[in-house]
Amino acid sequence: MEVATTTEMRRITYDDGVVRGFVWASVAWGAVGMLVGLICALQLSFPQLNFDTPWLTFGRLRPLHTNAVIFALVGNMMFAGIYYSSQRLLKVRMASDLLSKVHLWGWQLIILGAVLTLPLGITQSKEYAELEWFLDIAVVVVWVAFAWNYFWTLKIRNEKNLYVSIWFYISTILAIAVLYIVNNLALPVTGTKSYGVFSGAQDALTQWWYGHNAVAFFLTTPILGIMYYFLPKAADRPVFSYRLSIVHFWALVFIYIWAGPHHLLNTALPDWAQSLGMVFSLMLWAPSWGGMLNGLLTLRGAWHKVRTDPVLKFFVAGVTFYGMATFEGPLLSIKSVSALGHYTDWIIGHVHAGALGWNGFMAAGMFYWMVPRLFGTKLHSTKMADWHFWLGMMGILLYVGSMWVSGISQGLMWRAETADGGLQYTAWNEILDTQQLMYVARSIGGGLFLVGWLLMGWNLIATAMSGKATNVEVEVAVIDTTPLASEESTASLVFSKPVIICFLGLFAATMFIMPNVGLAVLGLVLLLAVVAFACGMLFGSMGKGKHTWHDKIESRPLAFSTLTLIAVLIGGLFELLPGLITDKQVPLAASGEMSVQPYTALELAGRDVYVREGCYVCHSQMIRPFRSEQLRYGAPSRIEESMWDHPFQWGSKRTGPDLARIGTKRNESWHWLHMMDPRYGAKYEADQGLSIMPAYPWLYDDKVEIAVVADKMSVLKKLGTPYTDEQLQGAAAAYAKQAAATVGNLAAQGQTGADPESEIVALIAYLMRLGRNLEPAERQPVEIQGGK
Amino acid sequence: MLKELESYVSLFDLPVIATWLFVAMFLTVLARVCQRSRQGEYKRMASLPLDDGAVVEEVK
Repeated sequence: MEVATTTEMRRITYDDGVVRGFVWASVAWGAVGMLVGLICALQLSFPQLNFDTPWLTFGRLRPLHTNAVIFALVGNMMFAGIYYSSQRLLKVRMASDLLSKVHLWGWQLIILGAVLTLPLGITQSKEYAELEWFLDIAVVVVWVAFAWNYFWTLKIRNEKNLYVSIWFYISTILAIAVLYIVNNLALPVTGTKSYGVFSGAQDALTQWWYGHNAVAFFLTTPILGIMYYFLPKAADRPVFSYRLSIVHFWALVFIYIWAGPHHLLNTALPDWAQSLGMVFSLMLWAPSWGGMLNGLLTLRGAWHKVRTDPVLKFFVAGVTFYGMATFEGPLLSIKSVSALGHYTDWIIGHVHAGALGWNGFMAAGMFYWMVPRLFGTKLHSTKMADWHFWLGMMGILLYVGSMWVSGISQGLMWRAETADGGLQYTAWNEILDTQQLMYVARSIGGGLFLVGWLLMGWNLIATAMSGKATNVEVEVAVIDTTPLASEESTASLVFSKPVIICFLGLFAATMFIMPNVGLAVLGLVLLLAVVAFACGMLFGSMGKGKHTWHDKIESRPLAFSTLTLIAVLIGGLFELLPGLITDKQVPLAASGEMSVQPYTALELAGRDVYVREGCYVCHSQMIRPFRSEQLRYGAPSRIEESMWDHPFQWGSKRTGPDLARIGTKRNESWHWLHMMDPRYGAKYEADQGLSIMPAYPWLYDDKVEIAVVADKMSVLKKLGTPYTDEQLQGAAAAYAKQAAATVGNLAAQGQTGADPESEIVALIAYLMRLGRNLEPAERQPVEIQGGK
Repeated sequence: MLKELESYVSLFDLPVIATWLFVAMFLTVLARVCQRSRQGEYKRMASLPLDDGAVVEEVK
């Protein structure tokens, strides 16, 4: 339908104060996050740097590093980009200066909370979701303030059509809200401790649905929005293909959400969920590269500028790293590749290609473009920016290259067998020792990147000091397209032909799930009809001058947001619901008892120490069904073995060995000595070698709050753990009895003087429990892969 | 009829055919995206980031 338009001129003063605040916060927190990362990297080469101090140990610092980089560096950077570009794309000042300020300062307080709590061991121990319940509530409140302000701004906008960047921002706001709330559902026990509502495999699936999509909707979609705004501006060219951006957006937000289970390949997670994760991860190749190509091709005719303009240099390298990382991600999601790469340093290299190359370089490019304009001046030093670029580039290449080498070496050495079918490398530290050169190279690479970042900080401060904080007042032409926006209801746009066709296509695809030829044929016929109809729609129904369906939803934020939310939720529902609604059933042992009993009071207290110290950062508790893992660790893990684990501790990295069956391998004395001094105290065993684990001397002095253990069991009972009332009432007595028995075992093994109330006794009791579940009477056979 | 169909095509062939259909759809969308004749339709939207308006005043 032709729509008459009217044009009027309006004056707008943008709120750039909040943008400046987020820029400085990102630069400063980014330096802190990277410095902590560098310390962590050095601790893996020089474990003395743990200083035998609780809040400086690797297990507590590493979550601080990841949270600081994700939520502080990238979070603040993306908010700066969102506030700057959205006001200009919507031709309106943010709706509420107050809400903008609440967002800016609230976010910084949350980061400060993370800086204070994570080193103290106040953690949920779920990767990138470590913050405890009181900080989670703060995150939700601040996010709501941000969302409210943003959607209010959309409502009062002066540009009716929403540009592609805005779509990505909307998807970020909605998806992160859903992901964060669901994954952090928990019941508090004390002011600083809670238990998540999910456990075991359910928790693992929910966590990696969140964890993967934190990468998708926190580290990717908002930065793509920033790319679609700032790259055309820096190149002074319109985006290469607006139509490609439409396909890119919808394909990305729909497919990304399904790919979470690729973090759990070859684990005890049901096979269907693993396959789903793998297939959708492979499908992600197309939209990811669509976005990368759209970004790079925007530079057509402007490539000569890349040579001299630091902004474009960073953007081009950033987008290229995005392409490389999104090629490597699906590659690592192939089950057989994951079998080699998972738990190794390869994953660390992959993550840093994205975090340093994509996020770090895009942040730098955006800051170099934005800060001179925010202060009404020119960049202090282009040469310094060039130095930053090359230091950063060398740093990333050194980092990623060294992690590739060490990761693939680890994977190969873990599985290497001798001619007679035994493990070639039986001593864990023998393998680890061979990686030390690469670990040093990684630290140098990370250090170079940090030096580059500090140079940027200096350059930006000097730029700001040479100018003055500037709020620009502009006069914009406002094209009133109200007739177009009001001609169809939101519902009719949401339930329109393109959406119905997509749903029919999805429905047809589900018919291949069942092993039934009739259903599969029906699915094929339906799919054929859908494809034919969609092709007809694509080429036939849109003439020049007509408004397409997408034109219409682009001018309707409510319809657009609803469809985005639906696209995001479909994958989540398909992936999570079957697992969450399934009854928790533990197979019975031959004796008629549950094969997996809930943890005793002492074991639970020990488990909480394990969680607090961040042991999951270096140790997995998931033996994969491979011959080499069976030889090294024992029988593959069964899904019910982590049934009562709030939170699950399957882990994602093996800097140390898997601990799922450690209770059957080592005695109490071994743990006692190992935790006291992992390097020199371990001389009692010849194959131990030089461990790089921190020592935990405080565990021998610090005491467990035994009075709280019954409260913890009570909360877990509410969450479905089958504790009896007698167990709750007799928790303290049972604790004392088992602690005395553990102390007795230690004494019998030569370790006298253990305090039964000390944390080390509880931790040892927990570790001795691992892998000691009863055998189910009817055991499901597990197919063991690999080997001779 | 289903039995007869099963003699021609196995259960594992059908998802492969469906995958080829998916690829065909992907290529169709790609062709549509690259179609030059319609690129003008989105020119204004694609250029939105370049339209900053006229600066009236810089308040320092």
